[in-house]
Amino acid sequence: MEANTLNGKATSLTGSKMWQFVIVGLIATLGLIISIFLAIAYGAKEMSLQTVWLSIVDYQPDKTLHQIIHEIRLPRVIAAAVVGAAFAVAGALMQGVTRNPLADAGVLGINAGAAFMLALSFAFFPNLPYFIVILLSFVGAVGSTISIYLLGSASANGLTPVRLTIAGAVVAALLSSLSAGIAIYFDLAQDLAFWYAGGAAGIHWSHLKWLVSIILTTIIAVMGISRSVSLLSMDEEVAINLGVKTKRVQLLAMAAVVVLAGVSVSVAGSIGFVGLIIPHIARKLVGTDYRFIIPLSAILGAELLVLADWAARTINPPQELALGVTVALLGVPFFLYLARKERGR
Amino acid sequence: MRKFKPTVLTIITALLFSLLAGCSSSTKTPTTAQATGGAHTEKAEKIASLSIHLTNDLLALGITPVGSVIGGKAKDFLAHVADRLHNTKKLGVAADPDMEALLALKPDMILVDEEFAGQDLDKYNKIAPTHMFSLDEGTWRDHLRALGQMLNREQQAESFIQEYEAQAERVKSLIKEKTGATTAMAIRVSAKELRVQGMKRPLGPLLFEDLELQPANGVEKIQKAYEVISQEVLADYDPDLIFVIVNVEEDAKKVFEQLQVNPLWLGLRAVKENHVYVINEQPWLDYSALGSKMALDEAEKLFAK
Amino acid sequence: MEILSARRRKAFAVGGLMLAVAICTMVLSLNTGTIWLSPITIVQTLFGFGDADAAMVLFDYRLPRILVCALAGIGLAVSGSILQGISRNSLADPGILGLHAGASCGLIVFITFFRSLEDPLALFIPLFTFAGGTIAALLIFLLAYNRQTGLQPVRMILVGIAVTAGFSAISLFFSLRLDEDTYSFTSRWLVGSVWGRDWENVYALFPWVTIFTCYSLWRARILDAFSLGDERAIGIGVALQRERLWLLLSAVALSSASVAMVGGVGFIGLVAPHLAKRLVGSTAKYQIPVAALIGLIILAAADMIGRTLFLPNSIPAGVIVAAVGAPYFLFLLVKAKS
Repeated sequence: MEANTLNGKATSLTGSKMWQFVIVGLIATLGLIISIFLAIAYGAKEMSLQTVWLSIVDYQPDKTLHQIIHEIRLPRVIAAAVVGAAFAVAGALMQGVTRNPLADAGVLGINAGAAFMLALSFAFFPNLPYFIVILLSFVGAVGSTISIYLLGSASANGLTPVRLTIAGAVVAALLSSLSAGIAIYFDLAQDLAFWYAGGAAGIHWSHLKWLVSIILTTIIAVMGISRSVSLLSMDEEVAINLGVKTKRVQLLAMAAVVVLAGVSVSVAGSIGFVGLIIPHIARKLVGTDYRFIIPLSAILGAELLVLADWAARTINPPQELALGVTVALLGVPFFLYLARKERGR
Repeated sequence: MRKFKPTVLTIITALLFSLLAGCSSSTKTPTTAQATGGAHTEKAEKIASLSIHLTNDLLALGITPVGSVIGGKAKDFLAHVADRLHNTKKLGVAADPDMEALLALKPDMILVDEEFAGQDLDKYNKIAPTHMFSLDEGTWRDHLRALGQMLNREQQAESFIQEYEAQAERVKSLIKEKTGATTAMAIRVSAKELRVQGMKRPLGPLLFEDLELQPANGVEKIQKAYEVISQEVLADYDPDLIFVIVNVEEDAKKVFEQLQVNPLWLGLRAVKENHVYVINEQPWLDYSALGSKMALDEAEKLFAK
Repeated sequence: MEILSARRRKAFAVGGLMLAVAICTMVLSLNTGTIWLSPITIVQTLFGFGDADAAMVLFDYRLPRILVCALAGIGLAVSGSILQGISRNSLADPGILGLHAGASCGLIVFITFFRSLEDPLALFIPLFTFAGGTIAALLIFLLAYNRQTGLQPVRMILVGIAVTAGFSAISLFFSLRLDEDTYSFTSRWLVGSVWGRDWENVYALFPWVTIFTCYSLWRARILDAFSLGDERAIGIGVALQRERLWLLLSAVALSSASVAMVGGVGFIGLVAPHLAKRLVGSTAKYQIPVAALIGLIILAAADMIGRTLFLPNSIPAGVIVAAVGAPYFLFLLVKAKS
């Protein structure tokens, strides 16, 4: 990346960049609104657009179709949007602070940590209340993140992207193997597979309270360190010279990643690749400034998951596909493309 | 790179075929033991069953097997028959039975389900004469009669079936009296999905043949055990009577609690008229002579009030 | 010359020791099961003097399973040795590279579309796993291959991780549609559980493992040449890319055949060659046989532990191997200078 123009780029918002962001942001928001409307309007049960519109502006609780929209589709679409935003922002942050274009909560094994704790709690304490389950999967995410981070950096050469990716893949392999062992021993296998596969199906308004408030707060809070993240993402030494407290920024960013990924996994299961694809697209569109990348990633991530969830339930109705699978099938080619491109570095 | 080295390819192809051949020989000669059924009558005292359902058919005939496989989920005998199997040796789960434990029992006769054990038939035959049943063919009545013939208990089999039919008639009229229902469906709630039970075993034959309920609109299309559906289309079935099977897992119960306050659920006709009946996984999903009878016992209590 | 013969002596000593350990493990494994047989009975039976029941337990139930374990352990270890050799990457492993995920996906596709694990159709299982493994290998090869630089080791692993994720997603997609009983079998198989336990499975696996192990030993010098770096290997006169392709193909054959019988057991292909390298150095003709023996020991021991320690249930061997192998991999990752 062009280190010479870096200073000017990152510290002051040049006008043209700003406009570019505003335009791209508006288009993306419009896209999000359209996809949310599509996802609400079309589902296993067919209904006219007029009914959909009426159920939103003039909700009548005794009509079945209105109920379908309010009780099933709305919570689900909102959940998909919020989770998508969370995964995308988590990915953007990770890619920024580790300077690793292949970083992603799914690839790096953070999701596997959360899922492992889920397996443990399913097996040993099946009666836990909802928020404790969230907390536990969150602990799992923290644990695996810390261990991957330590393992990736605990060597003479320090934290190289490849090393981090490999450490993540191995930790993920280990944890999912252990989860599988637990699941098989306690005969939870298929229940757990549904968590792994991911999906926004079982989400209710009561869950959404938690989910939306935690994730939105975190994303807004993250904006506070976005400038430091963009400096860090280009060159650690320049960042230090410009007065960025790199260790603290890295720590804060990773903490945000863990919150975002951990909470999302506990609600919607392990959905990989969102955090990988979206920040790359965002970077293509608005450049390297994380003040732009983070909000744009949130919008685009929300859009991707809303559409993926919509596809998952309309391709073969009334059956539903797994959301994580739909996204992974999109994400894998992209990952391969990135891996191939990476050789130039 | 440009051209394939023929030797390696030939070797791989040859080996592939040998691997195929190796696997095929294990299944080549399944000696159909069913034909030899009559030979071992009355002498067979120690019977080992490698199907939980056949075990329960045996119990219906008043025979306690010396060994039986256990339910994969419960890691034990199915709860509704566990008290009758105190002296029965556990032989592992049906998908992976413990051959050594079976051998140690020295049974006189082995009963197997084609679905799980078809492949290992000659291994079983080495231990004791083995009878294979395909539970997908015929109803439990056919299996019970076949067993009765084999074990000289034809009388018991017939009277069990007659009693069952009489009981089914009673339950049928009880349901009519209490609910006036003609159409019905059964759903199963688990943590992540909602299933509609179809026309095939385990639940279809009991509800739609024995109890002569009409399948709810759309259920007749599900010609298998069950289908996973979206909550959105739940209202389309709209039957007079709903049976709900809630998985034993705690989170499945939570899901059902949430479903119960869902306006969509509350809008269903059966729910409004209070014709929802929660039934247990066992015995209702145990498609066997005893399982079906015990399901009717429960139904008699459910609809008696 | 002095050094060479000393190394050779050491290799033979280590090899002999490993052989002894391997035999001990197998004998111990022969001794575990629901029916208890005294060691004397076992020896008697092995030499043909036991009673019929003991013979049935040993020859029909225990021995084939142990032999399948042994062969698959060898297959996976040798496959790992080859992969590490040709990629010059000490972290290469058929599991990490996605070959297992490809093979597993083959099995799931088979189960989904043909339903049955018995009947004559079952004979297509190895075909499907081999096809899956080959597709994975081809993908890795195509995506990590560059006209100028050839196969790049690091990219092989990155691509492998993506290939694994892709195949797992497909497997997951299909496996969610299976009924519970089939699914419980499949989920065990996916993490590595020894299901091939008949003599037929032994006969089927034996030629694959022996032929390709021999092939890799025959090509041992070329594997050594790879470790010098591509330029020097070409300098010595090795037809680099072609040799690499054929060795890669035999690694796929070894791992797919093993996976068909014991499921997706990971990490053996990584751990065994490494331990072997520590014990006898990196000369392929010594390393491969020792690695093979270590692979045998690991898988046989893991299978034994998995089916005895957690009675009445059994834990798939693959879980035990991963629990031990993954930390070792991470240890290597931390230590590797790269």
